Amino acid sequence: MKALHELSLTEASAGIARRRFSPVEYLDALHQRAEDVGGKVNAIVRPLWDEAREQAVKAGRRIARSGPRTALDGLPVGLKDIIDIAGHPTTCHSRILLDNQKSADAAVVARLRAAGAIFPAKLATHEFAIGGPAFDLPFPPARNPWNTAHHPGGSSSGSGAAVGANILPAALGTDTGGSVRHPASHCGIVGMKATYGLVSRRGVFPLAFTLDHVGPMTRTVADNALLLGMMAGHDPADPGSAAHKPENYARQMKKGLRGLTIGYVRHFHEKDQPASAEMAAALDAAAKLLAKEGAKIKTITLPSLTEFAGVNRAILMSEAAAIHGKWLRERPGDYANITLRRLLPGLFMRAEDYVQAQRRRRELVAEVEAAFGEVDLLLTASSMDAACKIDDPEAVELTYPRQARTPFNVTGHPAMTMMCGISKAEGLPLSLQLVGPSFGEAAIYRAAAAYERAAPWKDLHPAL
Amino acid sequence: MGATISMTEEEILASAAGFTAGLKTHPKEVAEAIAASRRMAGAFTRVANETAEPMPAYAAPIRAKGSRA
Repeated sequence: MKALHELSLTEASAGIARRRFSPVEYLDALHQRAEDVGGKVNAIVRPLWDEAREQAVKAGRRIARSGPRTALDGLPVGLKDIIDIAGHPTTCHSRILLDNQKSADAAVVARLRAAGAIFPAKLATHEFAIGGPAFDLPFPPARNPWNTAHHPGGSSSGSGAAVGANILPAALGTDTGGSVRHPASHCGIVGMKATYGLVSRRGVFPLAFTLDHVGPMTRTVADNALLLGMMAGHDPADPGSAAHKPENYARQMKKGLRGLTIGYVRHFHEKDQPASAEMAAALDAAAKLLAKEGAKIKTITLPSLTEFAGVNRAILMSEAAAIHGKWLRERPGDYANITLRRLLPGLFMRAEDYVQAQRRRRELVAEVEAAFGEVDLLLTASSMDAACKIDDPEAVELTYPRQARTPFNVTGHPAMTMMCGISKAEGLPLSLQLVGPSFGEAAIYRAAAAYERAAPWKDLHPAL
Repeated sequence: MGATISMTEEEILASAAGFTAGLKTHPKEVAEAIAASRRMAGAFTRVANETAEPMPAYAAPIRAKGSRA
């Protein structure tokens, strides 16, 4: 029998609805887990357990009186510390914003709060979702729960570490060039970057306006679908928000794979950025398993990773410079050195280069869209390697080009990563990525759930 | 004839970027950033059609409720 802190969001929801335990008992078990292992992974930068406990008490009374408000009622969700929560600062893991007190919830937090969710912690991030892991900031960098000498991925590093370490069942991250999916890949969990505009970004500190997404990070596919369903919805106050009706993303999850055609984008990891032998073998094995479960697998060719990465960087740097320009000029020494070095090129980008990148982006979108005329989903690599050592700056730097997540920030298509193996050498998670057409999240969850059922990875957890 | 001012390329670019003070405290980072920005500007294929519209397209604002127009 699982300990309370090991339960998924869906399992905890069922346990609370059946009165097997209360939201307070569940939260207390997670708090104890954080006390026991939190110091090893540094996932939490601001604990809010006391406030969350008050909310859990109220949720417990409400549920006892009239049943759960939603499947999330009384359940905890961690927040990357670039997402606002009323009454607390949003530091962005930076000394520049240590006193950045917020008076209102981010739109996505308000949605989850209305569903009954509670918020026990603000979580570590790379500084401003770009500069990390850094050792010269007010908070230490998060570490990988599978091996604390290793990088947990980033920038939503605390979200990945907290969920992977069973400190929290779910957390929110943000993703501008892969920052939900990178830690999900390295921490052996499920991370979704939904279609651009599906989840409101209001109240979330921006990195690059036209590339930013907020996404759910969980240990199971069902939990991820549940959380996204509560997060999604049109927000007229977010200029990028899509007027798309929220869906039940779990509705197709039991359908299996028969009838789906999945395009396998081999050149990303075979030619563009050759993956480690273990990662390549794990991806091929995943493609075989998807075929065995009923999917038709077809090789698909897209533009090269270099093209997508070039466009992503030119746009990201230019937009980020518009956000950070004043601080870069007035207090460059207050950034971690790695953050300064990552942001500074944006001050030297020309307006013409930004517009040229946005022009090329339109072509790249059209080329990915054309692929969805042939297939229902895409299967690609996420990272080309298992997690590197956290204190090896050269290896950390290589994690930026050696990945296939960035293309779908450029195009805005939904993309999800999940575990597809374990590296024999270091016992670290390997990962795959499933990509869908715009607003095709339900089909991604359908395929992911079928893979999760058939593969042996769902019961593996780090031994902290 | 006016006086000429001798500046390095880095000083000119830093001045244009409003980063003159930062150049004094972080010269190595500025040199790296200028080189990186050049690499980034050349890291993707230029669209051949000079009149191609970039993303995202500008759209006129939707008329607000209560607008007199």
